[in-house]
Amino acid sequence: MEVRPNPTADNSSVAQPQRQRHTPATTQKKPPASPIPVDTTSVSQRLQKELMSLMMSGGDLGVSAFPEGESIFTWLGTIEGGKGTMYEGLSYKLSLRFPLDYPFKPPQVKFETMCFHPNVDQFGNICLDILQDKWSSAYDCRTILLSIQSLLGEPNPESPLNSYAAALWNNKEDYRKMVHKQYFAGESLES
Amino acid sequence: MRDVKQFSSRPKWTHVLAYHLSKMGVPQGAQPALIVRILDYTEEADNHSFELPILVHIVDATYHYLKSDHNNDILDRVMRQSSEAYRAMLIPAAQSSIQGLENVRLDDPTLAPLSSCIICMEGLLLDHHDDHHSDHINAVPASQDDHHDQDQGQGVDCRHPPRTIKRLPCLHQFHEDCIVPWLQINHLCPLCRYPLEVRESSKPKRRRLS
Repeated sequence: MEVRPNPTADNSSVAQPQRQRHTPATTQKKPPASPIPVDTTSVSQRLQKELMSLMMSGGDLGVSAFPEGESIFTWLGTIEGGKGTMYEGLSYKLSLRFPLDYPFKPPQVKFETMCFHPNVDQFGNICLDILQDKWSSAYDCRTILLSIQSLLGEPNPESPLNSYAAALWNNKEDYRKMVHKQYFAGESLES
Repeated sequence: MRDVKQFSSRPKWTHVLAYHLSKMGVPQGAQPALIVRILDYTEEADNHSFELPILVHIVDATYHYLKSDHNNDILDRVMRQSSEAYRAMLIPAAQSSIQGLENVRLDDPTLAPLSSCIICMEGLLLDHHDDHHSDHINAVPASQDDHHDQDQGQGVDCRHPPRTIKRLPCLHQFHEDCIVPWLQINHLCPLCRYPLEVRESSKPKRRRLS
């Protein structure tokens, strides 16, 4: 995944002005790396890059995401159920909240569409190691959404948040029924 | 929460109730207890009557608090708490192993012009926050330092010295100001999870690097 620096003006124009005023005298004398700098400029620049790369490639993979409202730190993502899985033909919405020190910490990701799945609880919380202790700053929104997409088809039965779904997993027919039932129940709520 | 009439399926109504409670601003942590009480009550009552309009009075100080201006404070606190819990799970690299990281020279043959730092997603050889000038900067010779001062004086073209590049023992390369904050949280290489040395107290025995 080679992400080329993006030469368009948008990228930097958003966050640039504030930095410049402080720069000349101060920054050069300071030691370079302060611990965990909360530099929202570089965070939003990285998020802009992710957005760009996602818009360029995500659609083919059945995942997409876009900032929700004004803030670049809150995104709304969409995952299409993988072909040949119980979730085929369904499309799930997720919310992503990026912390101010992203990507040093993972975003908080939740299903906004009701999702019947062993590793998703009734509130949409997801149990996925890369969103917790296995997070790496090399992951991005796209890899997160792809991971969740494959989690849909391959649940991890060892840490179920929904034990009913975990128990039903081996009964494909009933499982699929439940998946659809919850999906459409949620849909009617939203409308 | 009116018109709850059928209780053939508890999970379904749990979702309905959770949805409404969320809309009312009831924190998720408080929802399960409320939902169970409502369902228990109505299921019990359902034995006697076919239709049952119910009215649930929720008296909760938290509710009013959430409706007020402190909304963001609470969200921030929750974010902070979860991020503290997150850090507690991880082992930072030892300060000595961070300081001992190898510097990568700007003319190092392994530095392809377009290779990028996975953490900030900017080119390793790019100047700090300078991507809109990327055509100037395929390789940044050290002699450009004078330039930077000039540019900064103008206050328009904000250029810094080239960013220091560090190489981990696994040969993965990052900007120093990108990899150091990461290693202060987690001692594993972001790309391959190669473990850097950790503080003695954090973990019993680990192979010394260099």
